[in-house]
Formats: sequence, C-alpha cells, structure tokens
Amino acid sequence: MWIALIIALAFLTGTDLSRAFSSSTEGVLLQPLIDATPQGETLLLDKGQTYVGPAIIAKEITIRSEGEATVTNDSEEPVITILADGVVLQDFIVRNLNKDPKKPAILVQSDRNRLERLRIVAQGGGIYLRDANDNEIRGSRIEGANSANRKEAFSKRGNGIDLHGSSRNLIEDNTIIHMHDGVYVESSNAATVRNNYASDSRYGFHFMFSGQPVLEENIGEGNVTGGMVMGVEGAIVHDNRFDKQTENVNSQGILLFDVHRSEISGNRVDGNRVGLYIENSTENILSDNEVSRNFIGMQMIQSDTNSFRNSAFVGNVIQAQSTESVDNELRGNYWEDIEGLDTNGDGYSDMTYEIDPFFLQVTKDIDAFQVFFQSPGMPFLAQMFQADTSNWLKDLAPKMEPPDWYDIAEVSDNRWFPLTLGVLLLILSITIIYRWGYRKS
Amino acid sequence: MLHLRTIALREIKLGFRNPWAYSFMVLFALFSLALLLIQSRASLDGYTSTTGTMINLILYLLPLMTMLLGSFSLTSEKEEGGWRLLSSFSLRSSNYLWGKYAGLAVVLLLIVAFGFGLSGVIGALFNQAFEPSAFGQFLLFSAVIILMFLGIAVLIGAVCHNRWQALTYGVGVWFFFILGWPTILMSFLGFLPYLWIKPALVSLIFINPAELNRLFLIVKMGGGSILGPEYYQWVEWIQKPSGSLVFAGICCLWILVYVGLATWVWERGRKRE
Repeated sequence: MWIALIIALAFLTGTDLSRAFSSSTEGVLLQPLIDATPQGETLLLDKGQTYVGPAIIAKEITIRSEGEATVTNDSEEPVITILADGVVLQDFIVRNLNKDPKKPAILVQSDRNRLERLRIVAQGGGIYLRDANDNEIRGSRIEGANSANRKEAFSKRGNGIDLHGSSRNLIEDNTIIHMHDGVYVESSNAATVRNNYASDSRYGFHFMFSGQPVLEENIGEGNVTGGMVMGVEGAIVHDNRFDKQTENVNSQGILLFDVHRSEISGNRVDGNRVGLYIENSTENILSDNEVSRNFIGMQMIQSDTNSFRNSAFVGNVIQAQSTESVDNELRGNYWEDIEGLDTNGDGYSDMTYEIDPFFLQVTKDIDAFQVFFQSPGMPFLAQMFQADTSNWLKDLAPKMEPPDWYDIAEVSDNRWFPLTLGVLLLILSITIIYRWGYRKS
Repeated sequence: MLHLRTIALREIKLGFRNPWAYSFMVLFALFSLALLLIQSRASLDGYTSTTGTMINLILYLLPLMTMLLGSFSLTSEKEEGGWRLLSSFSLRSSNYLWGKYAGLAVVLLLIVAFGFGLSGVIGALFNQAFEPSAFGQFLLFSAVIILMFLGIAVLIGAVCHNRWQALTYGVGVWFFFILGWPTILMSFLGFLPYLWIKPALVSLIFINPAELNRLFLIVKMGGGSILGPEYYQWVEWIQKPSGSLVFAGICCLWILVYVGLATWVWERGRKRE
C-alpha cells in the first residue's frame, strides 16, 4: 500500500523513481560512518537499522552489528567495496537492489580480509574477489533475490562467491541458494572450498583454470551440476556429497573436464542424472567414491590413464559407460550387478567386470536415439554387437562385497502401506476370481 | 448394454477356467517377487536399477500375456463354435467384442493385482517393499500396458482363424514392439536425413504402446532428463498434470481405434458367412 502510494507520488511529482525508493528506505548513509572510523577501530552497526551504500572501505577497520542491521544499495556500484587489507565484516545483512547479474553485493580487491556470518540477498552476485589473496569467507548465507522462482533463467543471476586472479582464499561453512554458480573459481590458485552447501544453482562449485584447488566436505543438491572442475591440474576433491542433480538434461554429480593428476576420493554422488562425468581427463586417481542410484553411474569419454579403486557402484540404472578411453585402470571396485567368481577367497572376483560402450556409441552421432535408454530391446541389440570386448573398460579385480565404509542409505521403513495395499489386492483378486470365475452359478 | 455385460461376465468365468490364466499369474507373481527380493533395499524409489529392471520385466511379460490370452479367447470361440451359437441371437458384433474386451480386461487386471499383491505382502514382510509412490506407479503402468495391448489382442483375435495363427501373430507383434523395436528403428531411421529422425521417431513411439508407456513412466519417476536435450520440451510437457490427461486421452483413443478396427474385421467376416 505504502509502496504504491510512493510510486504514485513519485510519478505525480516527477521525481526519479529510483531516488524515491532510496529515500523511502530512510537509511543512514554508510560511507560517512566509515570515513569517521579511525584505522584499526570497529564500526558497530545498530540493530534493526538500515544503512545505505555504496560504500568503499579503504582502511583497515572492522564493521559488524550485533543483530540484524541491513546495508542496502540500488546504485550501479557494489554495496561494499573493500580496497584496504585486513578488513573484517561480520554479522550483518547485505541487500543489493541492483538487478545486474554481473554486479556483486560485496567486491573485495585486497588481501587478508575476513567476511564472516554475513547474509546476502541479491539479484546479482554475492561476494566477488578480484586480485585478492588470503581472504576468508566464512559462515555466510547468499541467496538469490528470486529464490521462490526455481525456473528463473540462470543468465539473470550472479555467482554466489566468485574468485578471479585470487590466490589462497578460504571459503568455508557457507550456504548458497539459487545463484548462477554457487562458488566460482577462475584463474585462482590454491583456493580451499570446504563444508559449504549449494543448491538450486547452475553449478554448485565450479573451478576453471585454477591450480591445486581443494574442494572438500561440501554438499550440492538440486543444481544442474554439483561440482564442476575444468582445465585444472592437481585438484583435490574429497568427501563431498552431490545429490539429486537430475532436472536438467546436462545434470551431473561431479563433472571433470580437462582435469589431470587430481585426486577424487570419498565423495558420494547419489540420485543424479550422471553421477561422475569424466571427459578429456588423464592421470587422475578416483577412489572410495560412492556412486549410487544415478541414472548413469559413471560416464567417461576420451579419458586415458586414470585409476579407479575401491569405489561402490550401487543402484544405478546403468552403472557405467565409457568410450574412446584407453589405459584406464579399474581395480577393486564394487559393482552391485557383478556376476563374480572368487576362487581363492581373497574377496575379489577372478572374473572381470566389463563395461559395454554400445549405448554411448549409438547415441553419440544421433542424439534422438537417447530415447532408447533402457528400452527392453536394447540388451538384445547390444548383445549382437558384443563380438570383441578387448577394448572395453574393465574392472580387473572387482570386489565381491561392498567396501567397509559403504552403508546402505537410509530407507523409510514404510512397510504398512505396501503390506496393506498388497493384502487388499490379494483379497480383491481372490474374491473376484472365486465369485465370478470359479463358483458355478 | 445388457448383452455387453452378459458377454463380459461370461468372459470372466471362461477366463478363470483357463489354466493359461493361472500359469501366467504364477509366472508374474514369482518373477516380480524374485526381483524384489534380490535387489538392494536402497534403490526402491525413483528411477534406479531396481525400478528400471521392474519396468523391463513388466514389459517383457505383460504384453505377451495379454496378446496370447486375449487373442486365444477370440479365436477359440471361432474354433469351438461358441461364436456361431451366439451369432444366432440378435447380438451386435461391437457389443460382443467390447464385452470380450471388458471381460478379458478384468481377468488380466486381476492376474496383475494378484501378482503385485503377493509380491507386495511378501516384500513387506522381508522389508523389501517398493516405496508407496513406486508401487502405485507400477500398478498403473501395468494396467495401462494391459488395456492397450488388449486392443491389439482383440484385433489379432478378429483377424486370425485359429489359435496357432493367433500365437504366431501375437509373438510377432511382441517381438516387433518389445525386443526388436530399437534394432528395427535404428536401422531404418539411419537412412533418413538427420533432421527427420527425431520427428519420425517421436511419431513412431505413438504407435508402440510399450515405448509410449515406458517413457511416460520414466518421466513421471523424474528420469526425463536422461532422454537428453532432444526431448526436453516433451519431458516438460509430460511432467505437467495436463500431460497425464492428454496421455490418458491418447490411451483411450488407442483402445477405441483398435477395438473399432477389430469390430469392422469381425463384422466383415460375419457377413461373408
């Protein structure tokens, strides 16, 4: 009601609409407060008070609030720009009204800053680091302004945390919802991304052309792709969980493209379209991963000399597909549908587990044939082409039992419904068969 | 209408005196139960290896069962003189065939209900039951498969003169729609210009009830994205509630067309006599 009135007034008086809004927030300008804070001191924001940016921090100070102070901004500039080293931002809300997806709420262009427990709501980006090293971003929550609209185009959203040309930064314990990429790291070396949660975004965690990134203990759910690593050497990806990346036709749990000499271990990819997708990647070690209930467990294209060990492939509609890939070593993985034979009792099958590339080859040239996925006639057709399996991907010593660390995912103990329905169906069918079929009348 | 009902009730009675019905019932119950018990507990919900295998089991077994039981029921009436007797009454061919259709549908649906009931109860006792949503989806999927293939079965029954012929036709159709479908389509569509392949493929799917149903179920189970970017719009559209309505409409139309064709063939045969 009030907003409508203000808009009407704005039109009547001919004032600029955006100015009407900024005055309507009745905020305190932030920049003069920063200017008045001496170097090394703390600027305490009042609880419940709204402050108006844009503000530039050019000296080493701390800004925090005890409670819910909000800093807002509708200009073209970021709400807060950090130019000085050693700045600390803690415990307040940042609300950026600028709709440009390329503009961040907070821009960091200096070193050794700490951004902790911030809550950022923005149509554009969250926190962007540009040539900024040794910063720490912790415990913050970044959410897209239109998070209710799950179908909102990704091009209208900014990245949650975006690093460019920035080294040795730590991103930890953050929650990122409904952004373009949750965490985007480009040309930034030795970034550590740990224990964050990303959902409803394009890529949950996205590394491009960055040396030695560490991605550990993160969770991604319902993104197009959970974790994407591209053009990277020496990445460490471990103990992450990527679940339910299924909605998009390009969805994956973990996507490795042009990745070399990296270690991908202890991750769980569950219920995705493709659990692990590997393309143009070499000399990686993938071990102790749980690949479960995906439509396709693992897909490997043009990737050589990788090593796969001690992982569990369970409940995937198709366990794995591989084409144009040679010299990969698979050993000691557990495949749920294994037809194994263990003659010497060492827990490993003496028969190999072979991965049929047929479907991938058929659909490579003609996408439309994807519609035959798991068609009941496909095994029949594939079998006719199984003359030579020597160049197939094979597990040389598949495990007979799941690895020790693998425990069956929680299943709801909903026995009563199927039991009741089953009993009802039985009673119904037997009664009708007896009354209308068997009884002579 | 009264005729139709009489024929349907007679069909149910005949159906359950037919040992074939019980052998299929046992086969279906045993297979679904075995499948349920050997699978891991973790994958009984959504589109996974277990539900995928279950879909294929249903697709291997139910269309064949439906087409054999359905077409045998009609051809045996021709062979054993049941139809000759009935046709001396003022019974319309359409009433007769729809009565047959309804009666056979009840028989087949009861067979499936028994199979699912048994595997549901025993599975639940062994704590290996399908999640409620998957259980319901499978029931519905099986029912639609039966109702659609029964249309083909009635047409086969109308066309064929005896059970042997019906068996040959039934197995032939089964092989074409279930086992040979990808092979045949891939080899022939490969000759088409690239841009024609997808439209041709999509329109062909509508003549194969097994594929149509399977794809519909996969999309409803949340697996639509596996079909790739080519089918993105189809998948989006099926996921909406209106998609289900249109699908139901297509199924009804399919049954009407097939039983209608069968009536026409049957009527022609009647006039020749």
